[in-house]
Amino acid sequence: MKVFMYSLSTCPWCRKTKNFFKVNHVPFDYVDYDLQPEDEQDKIMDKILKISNARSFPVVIIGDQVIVGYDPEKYSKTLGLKEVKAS
Amino acid sequence: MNAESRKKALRFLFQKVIDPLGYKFSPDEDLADFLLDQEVVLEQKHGIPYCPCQGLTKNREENMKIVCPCIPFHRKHFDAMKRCWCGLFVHKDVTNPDELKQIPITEINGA
Amino acid sequence: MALKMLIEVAKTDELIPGGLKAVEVNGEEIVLCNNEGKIYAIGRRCGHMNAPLDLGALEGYILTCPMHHAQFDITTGEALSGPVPPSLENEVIPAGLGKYLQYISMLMSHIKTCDIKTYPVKIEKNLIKLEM
Repeated sequence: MKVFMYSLSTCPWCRKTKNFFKVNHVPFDYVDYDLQPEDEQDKIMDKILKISNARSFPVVIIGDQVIVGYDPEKYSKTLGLKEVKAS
Repeated sequence: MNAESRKKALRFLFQKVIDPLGYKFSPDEDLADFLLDQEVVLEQKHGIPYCPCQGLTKNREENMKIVCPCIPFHRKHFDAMKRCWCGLFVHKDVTNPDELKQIPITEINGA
Repeated sequence: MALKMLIEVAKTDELIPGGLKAVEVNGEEIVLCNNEGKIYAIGRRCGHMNAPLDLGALEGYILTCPMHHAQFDITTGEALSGPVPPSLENEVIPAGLGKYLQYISMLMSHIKTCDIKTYPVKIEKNLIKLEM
């Protein structure tokens, strides 16, 4: 399943999320919203508001599931991870 | 201008605001310190200490809702989690902040 | 070698907790601040653009400038934060006035916010004295 996340360079929970995927060897792509040019940010925020109804980060998309907030349990469950390492 | 002095000043100013709202700084010192470091960076860039875990846009009115402490604008949501979104502040009775998780607003009734 | 003297500048009942009072001593402009009963003395001119700090706001030990809201620690004179916003560059303003303000703001964004001087305060009975 494809894993993609929207993150902020200033957010510790986003770091924990990225670390969770790294430590559990889950390939993922991400975009740091705050480091994008303003026009890109407009497009990204439009999408985030549509799928989560909020401006909060992290926003993780696994397949077609949207998970807002740091939630290692949900990540493991959605990905069907057998052995999970803590991030 | 010194980051440590600014963090101390932010702690002083924020404490006065959060106390009557029923919140205190998170007992997780490392987390609180890290978040304050980020707020100092955001304040140097924008002039305002914004929440390090919520997104800024061109909409000023929306941006004002994430100026720290942003508790009054997200009362129901934060009260349900017993913490604010980034975790800098928690309810006064919280002793173990690790037990509090981030719950998306869509999963909170009435928020 | 400059001789230090204790100079009377005000009476203690002229300043209530949270209060600010500007005084001038030997040509130096100073603001007296009362933080919960303790008196501090700090240079009057904001370390950013010299605005009068006695017209600002005192919250605890933090003095905020009325002009651009730079903040100072009254116990050390340290600048805690600079003007808000740091620049009008990204603000939305009506066209004509806008261009002018943004130009001025661009120039201003090069101005540092400096620490300011503080002066030792001695209370003798009901008199506020400064060592200068």
